[in-house]
Amino acid sequence: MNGYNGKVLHVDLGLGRSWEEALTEPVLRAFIGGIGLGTYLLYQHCPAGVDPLSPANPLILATSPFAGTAITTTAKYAVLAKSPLTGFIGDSLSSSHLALELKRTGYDALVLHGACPRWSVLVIVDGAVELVPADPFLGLDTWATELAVRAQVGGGRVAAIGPAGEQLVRFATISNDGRHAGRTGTGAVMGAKRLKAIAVRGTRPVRVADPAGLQRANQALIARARGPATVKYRQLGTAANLLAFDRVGVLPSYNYRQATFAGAEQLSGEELHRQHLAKIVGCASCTVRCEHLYRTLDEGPEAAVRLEYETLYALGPLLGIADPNAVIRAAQLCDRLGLDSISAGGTLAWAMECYERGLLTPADTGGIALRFGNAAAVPAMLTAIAQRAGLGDLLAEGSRRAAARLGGGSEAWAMHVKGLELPGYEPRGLKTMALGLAVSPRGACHNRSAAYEVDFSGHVDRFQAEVSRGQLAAAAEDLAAVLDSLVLCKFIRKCFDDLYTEAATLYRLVTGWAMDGAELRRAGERINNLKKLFNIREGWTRADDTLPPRCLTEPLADGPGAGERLTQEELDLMIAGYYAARGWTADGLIPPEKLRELALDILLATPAGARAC
Amino acid sequence: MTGPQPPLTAQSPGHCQVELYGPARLAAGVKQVSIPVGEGLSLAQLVRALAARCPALVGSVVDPERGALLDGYIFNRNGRDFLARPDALVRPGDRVLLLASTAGG
Repeated sequence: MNGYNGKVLHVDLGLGRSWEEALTEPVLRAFIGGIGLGTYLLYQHCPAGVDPLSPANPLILATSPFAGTAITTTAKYAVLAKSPLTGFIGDSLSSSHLALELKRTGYDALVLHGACPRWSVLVIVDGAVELVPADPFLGLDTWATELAVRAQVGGGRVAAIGPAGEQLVRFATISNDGRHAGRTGTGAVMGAKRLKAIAVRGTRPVRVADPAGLQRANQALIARARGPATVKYRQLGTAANLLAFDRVGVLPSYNYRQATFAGAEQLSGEELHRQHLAKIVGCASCTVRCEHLYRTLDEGPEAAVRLEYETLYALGPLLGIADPNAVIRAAQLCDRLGLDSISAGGTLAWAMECYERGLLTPADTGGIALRFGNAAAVPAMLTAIAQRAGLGDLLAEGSRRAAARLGGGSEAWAMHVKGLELPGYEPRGLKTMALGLAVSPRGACHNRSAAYEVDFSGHVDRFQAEVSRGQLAAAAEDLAAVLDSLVLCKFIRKCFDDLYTEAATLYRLVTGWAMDGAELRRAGERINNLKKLFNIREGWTRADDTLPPRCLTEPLADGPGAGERLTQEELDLMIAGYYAARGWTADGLIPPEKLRELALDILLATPAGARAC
Repeated sequence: MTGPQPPLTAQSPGHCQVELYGPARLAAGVKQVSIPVGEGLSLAQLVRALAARCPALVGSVVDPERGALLDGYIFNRNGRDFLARPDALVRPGDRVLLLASTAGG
């Protein structure tokens, strides 16, 4: 095969044995790779109803047909498991060198079953598999683990969990090359398998069907990727969102009690660029180079870290913190400990409001004043979460479970959907995005749904809820699924005149398989339907597609949208439009005819999540 | 906790304030520009006026020949309405934000 290796490596961590599974052309064409292929494998190999932290929950790493080719921005891989945070599908992407090394081992995916009898490092060198003791690495942070494991195995690339993953923090990450598979807690799944790190080294070449044609297409794409469509990412990075969002009143602050932040200017991407920029780098195989590393400037411990908008929002305005030095330190700590910064910030914001309301006291916090704006509290709380120490043990469960356990009405201000804490987009001021957050299979997610683009487009009224937003949100999800499966970085999505057609051309040049835009679009729809099938099998109901109570009962308090509301009725209207656009029932279930239309009835062994309408 | 942001209002009669964010701010070297709008300007007229006031934006943010922003940028009026329709008007007292239209992150 060109572009693909045509096989999956299965490893039983408990028995210490491995075997291969062939991947056929129909499956690969149907699910592409990355998130799509990973979703297919998860559906096939994850037993229904499994405890996400049990050995039976498989951990899947999936590469893609574009990884290892010359195509720009394609060094990414997907990580999937049943999420310990949501109980639904957990998927995330990470970037850079490990994606390429994984591809060169000769497999399109790894499926890790069971759990190691003792803490181990999984070492894969081309097709050879070995488990080695991880004792020397236990307790090390993610960076130190990567370096130490690489030194021991003699090179290659390493995906590792930090102390948070070892302690099964439900929003623990898997990290590699300074990048992270961040959301949905796959780091905890890895920790539950007593797997401290995965080291891969590969020498198998990646073949493409039409090298000359691919080179021409890639050069054209690289040229466009250096143009105005990516200038924001190249010059300022995603941190540029913060001040813009503040000015249009969609910057969630103080646990979503405000939509603007007085400290936005000093925390902005513009100011960070002016004062704190250390350097700009890029992933492997990337010609955009969006990674902005910022350093602290005050007299505290020196820190430098890559800072994206979501981390900036979650550890800054969401907590009422305006000091960039404090946010940089907190971000670095999340990276080292192996914590999803969005969920960490969202959970801390919930806790701060609990403290403000008297539900948590200094006796609970070990004397820490867990107040909004108290930057000094954050490092201690992040460390406590990673160690599950004191209050950290409660917070390590994520805001949904923590609120359920603490009670006192605190569920009213736990800002999550399906258990996944909200990203930095105020739903009451971006109503298409509100829909996207509510219905996304992995929970509140700005990445699997780019529905905010509709709200920012100028072609709709972002404060109005309309049934027609359903089709727009579904289309945004399908496009995201295609990008996440090929894989192409979303930051170049505006570099295409017709993304589906042009991406299909790239796919054809890589694989040699005929593919057009319509088939690629259909693959995106198929992947999202399969994610939904998985969730239905794991107990999804209509009630899970919703937003936090605060978003549906309180008006915006400030900003240009002050007084604007999002009602339950409005959300229900848009969700109904989304289900209709998807061809689902009014209850959001997938009818048999939709499964047949997408060939899911043939591609899957038994579509156990489907119910007749 | 701090209070809400002050309301967005322009200062000069007969003018609108164009606030620059992101790459536009970097290119122009200023945070905002005052543009005379008479009784109102179309977006194309606003782009051309902006190009005249901030030549550094030409070719990187604005295309005065087409009277349009380059891909990746969008106007927002008074913090509420994103402007993309050709018949959108900017009136005296409006505060216009010039933003990068892509998000993510």
